Amino acid sequence: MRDPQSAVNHLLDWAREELAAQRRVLGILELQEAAVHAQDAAATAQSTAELELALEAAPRRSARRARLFHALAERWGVAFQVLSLTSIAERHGPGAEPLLELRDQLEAVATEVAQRNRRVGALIGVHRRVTRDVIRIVLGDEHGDPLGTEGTLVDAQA
Amino acid sequence: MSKVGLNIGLQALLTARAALETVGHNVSNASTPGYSRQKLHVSANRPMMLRGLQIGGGVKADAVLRTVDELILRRIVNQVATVGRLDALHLGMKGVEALLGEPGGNGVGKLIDDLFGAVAELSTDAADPVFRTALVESTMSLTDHFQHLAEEAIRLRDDAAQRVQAFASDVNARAEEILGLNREIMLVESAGVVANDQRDQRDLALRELAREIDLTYHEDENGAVRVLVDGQLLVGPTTMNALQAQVGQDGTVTLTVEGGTQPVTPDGGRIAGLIGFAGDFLPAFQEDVRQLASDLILEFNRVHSTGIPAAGGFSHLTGSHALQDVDGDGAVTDERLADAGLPFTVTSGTLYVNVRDEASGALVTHTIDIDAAPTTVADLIAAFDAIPELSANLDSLNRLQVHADGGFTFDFAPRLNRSPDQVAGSFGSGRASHGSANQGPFNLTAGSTLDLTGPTSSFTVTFTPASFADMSQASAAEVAAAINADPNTGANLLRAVAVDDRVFLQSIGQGAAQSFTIDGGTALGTLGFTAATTVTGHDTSVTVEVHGEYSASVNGRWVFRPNIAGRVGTTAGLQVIVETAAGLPVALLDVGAGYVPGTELQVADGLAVSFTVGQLSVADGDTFVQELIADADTADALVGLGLNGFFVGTDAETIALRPDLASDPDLIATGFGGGSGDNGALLEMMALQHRTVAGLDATFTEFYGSLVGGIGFDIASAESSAEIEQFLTESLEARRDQVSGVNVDEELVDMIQYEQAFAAAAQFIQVVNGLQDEVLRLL
Repeated sequence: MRDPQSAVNHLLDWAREELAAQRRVLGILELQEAAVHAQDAAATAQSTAELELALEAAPRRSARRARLFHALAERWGVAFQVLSLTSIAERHGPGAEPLLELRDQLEAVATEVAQRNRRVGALIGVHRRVTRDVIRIVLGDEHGDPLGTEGTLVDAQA
Repeated sequence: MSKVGLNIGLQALLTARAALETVGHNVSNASTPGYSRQKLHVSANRPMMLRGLQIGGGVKADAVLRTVDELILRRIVNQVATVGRLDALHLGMKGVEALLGEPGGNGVGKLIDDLFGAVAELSTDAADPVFRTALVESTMSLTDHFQHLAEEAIRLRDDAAQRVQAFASDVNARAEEILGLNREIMLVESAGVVANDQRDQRDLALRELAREIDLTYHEDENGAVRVLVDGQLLVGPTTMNALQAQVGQDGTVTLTVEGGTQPVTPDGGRIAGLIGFAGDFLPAFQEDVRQLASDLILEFNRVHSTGIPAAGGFSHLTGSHALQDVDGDGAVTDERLADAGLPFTVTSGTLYVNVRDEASGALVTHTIDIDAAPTTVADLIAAFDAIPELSANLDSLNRLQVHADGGFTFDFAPRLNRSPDQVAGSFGSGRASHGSANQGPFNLTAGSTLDLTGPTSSFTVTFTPASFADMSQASAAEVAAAINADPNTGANLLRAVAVDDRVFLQSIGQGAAQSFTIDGGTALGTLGFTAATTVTGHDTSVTVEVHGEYSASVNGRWVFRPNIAGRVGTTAGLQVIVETAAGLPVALLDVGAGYVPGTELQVADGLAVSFTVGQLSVADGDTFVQELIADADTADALVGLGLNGFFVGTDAETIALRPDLASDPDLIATGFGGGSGDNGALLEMMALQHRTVAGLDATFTEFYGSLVGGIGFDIASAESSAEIEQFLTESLEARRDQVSGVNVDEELVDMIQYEQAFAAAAQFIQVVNGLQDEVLRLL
């Protein structure tokens, strides 16, 4: 088992990676919103593909973070579910100030990503319904549902 | 902040709905003629400043605009006008082609062949009544067809004029539609909205208008178009001027725009095609048909007018063409023949007139010289009147009538007088005969005299101006007529005749007992007589017979006279000198010792002559004249006057078989005086079939073939042009469709792509949402 500082250092590294990933997702969502506004199906699909790529690394980061949280919980003799970046920085003491700074940045970006994501989700949902209506009008009911089973849209709370 | 966000989202949704509604509108109108694909133009809203931050304003829809290429639209409008013109022209041409009935054997070509075929059949037996009737039937079929062509051509012209009027009504209906759309567009666009659908309808109306008439158009700053035809305003922003089509008596159409002072002359559209058809193509066709019929009349009448019916010459004839009082002075007789309103031109030349004594069969050929410039109708009548046994006058319709005295007939045949000295008896005659040494014209003075002594008395013939047209230019015929008019001449059994422009004084009786003396007189020297000349007759007379057929193509006159005095068949060295009227030698005929009387002696041009025994005298000026006639009417006087024609009428519209020939086919002039079996005139008519006609510069068949071929070529050219222009139009339409057309598949594909993109995006939005919850929980 590594010492706490080593684990905190790994956690700092994870936080930087997560911050970069969040910012990348935010950028992609902004592009996607613009593509939807512009009625540009190709750009919308492109941004979705980029989002998919960006999300591929999320499980790996999540697993790394879980391993570090488990190590620190064992070291400190607590359940790993009670740990957060804030509690880890407090327990570790003065050497954890950079972690607190990263935590603040990560919170700001993640909040913005969440808000942007809900807005884009709502936007896409409405566009999708209108599009489906037009297609149904054009093709008529006798063609059945040309689009297959309807998908599930996120709850727009923006 | 949330209000701003909600507003941006609302605008985005409205924009998206507008875009999709535009797509739906496109799809709904995919089959609407003239519809142009519409597209929503969007732009970013102006950002707003909030607490020192620039906040984006989202998206907004600016306008729904048509996707059009104005240049292509204008080219299509021009192209539609071109195609419209060619279509209408082509349709008209096809009407003419159908009228001709070629190929198919029912046209004028076959009927002309039938006519010549009927002439050829009749020529095998000119007396056959069945063949004569067949010729009448063939001729009437041809003339009926010519008249049908002429009438149908006029009908086609009138139809074209009526269609122009109908198209002008269509033009006005389109113009009214464009005017209404102008008003709608200006109203809609004054509110800042583009009137896409109305503009599409107006573009379509412009195209439909161009199909009828070519046009130019300009759009003003308010969105209204001004439509001009031939530079004149048809449609303005708020008013229109109706197109008016006036049809004249001759079928010509004059187009004007209401209020305009100049006629409209379109270059494109169906109206231009119809005007071009009725104004250029059809008149050219009519002129060709007219020319063909006119030359057929001219050439057949040239032959027939100099022909003779089987029954013989005419006791009277009436022309079919009336002479006109062109100068309007109330008299026709003072008109010059060349300018007397005759349908066929009378030129300078000679008209040969044969007068036959039906009792004796004696034939005398007279000539009437016509100088087209100075010869008047009165001159011509006088010339006929001057011919013994003939007279002429104008009937109540101003047509020339020629009459023969009782017992005489006349004709205009290029016949050969086979007994050229029978009437005159001035060559070896049994009469006491003496000819003047001089030839006319003679310069006589009023009161000049000729003193003669006959069997019963001496008497003086006094010449007065009343006997001459111009006493200083007195012709031999006039001098002879003046001598014969003196009652003492007949009382002394004397007469005067004119031969070779000489005056012959003769006893009426024959034989050695006949005698008279030329005593003197003041006209003696002028006429070329010698005082105290006593002339006696002979018991035998030379009979001249002409054999063969004249084969040369020009008219002429041969003068026969002996070289020395002597007796035919006996006097050594006696020859008959044959010269032309101009004195050029033609032949020397040995008729002296060794000549067997009656033997034919070859002269020239297919003719031979024979003489019987008799005395010839140089001192008495023995002479006879043989007229050589290839064309009996080089002046075309008979054709001009319509005397003894085959056809009446002057062109395709009026051509017909002469009515009395139709009712009595025996009157058809089949020969030139050779008896009942004579088919000379028919052979001449047959020759017309393969002769190049001067007015047509081709044979009749060639000309008609060229006419039909020309129309076929014109139709093929028009078809080819129409196909090319149609192809160009379709190419432009395809380019327009590429730019402006709606492709339903593409639109649906676009929408399905949208939907699929949205569906995929929605899935990831959900994933991101879950991840964000986790991240935020860890913080």
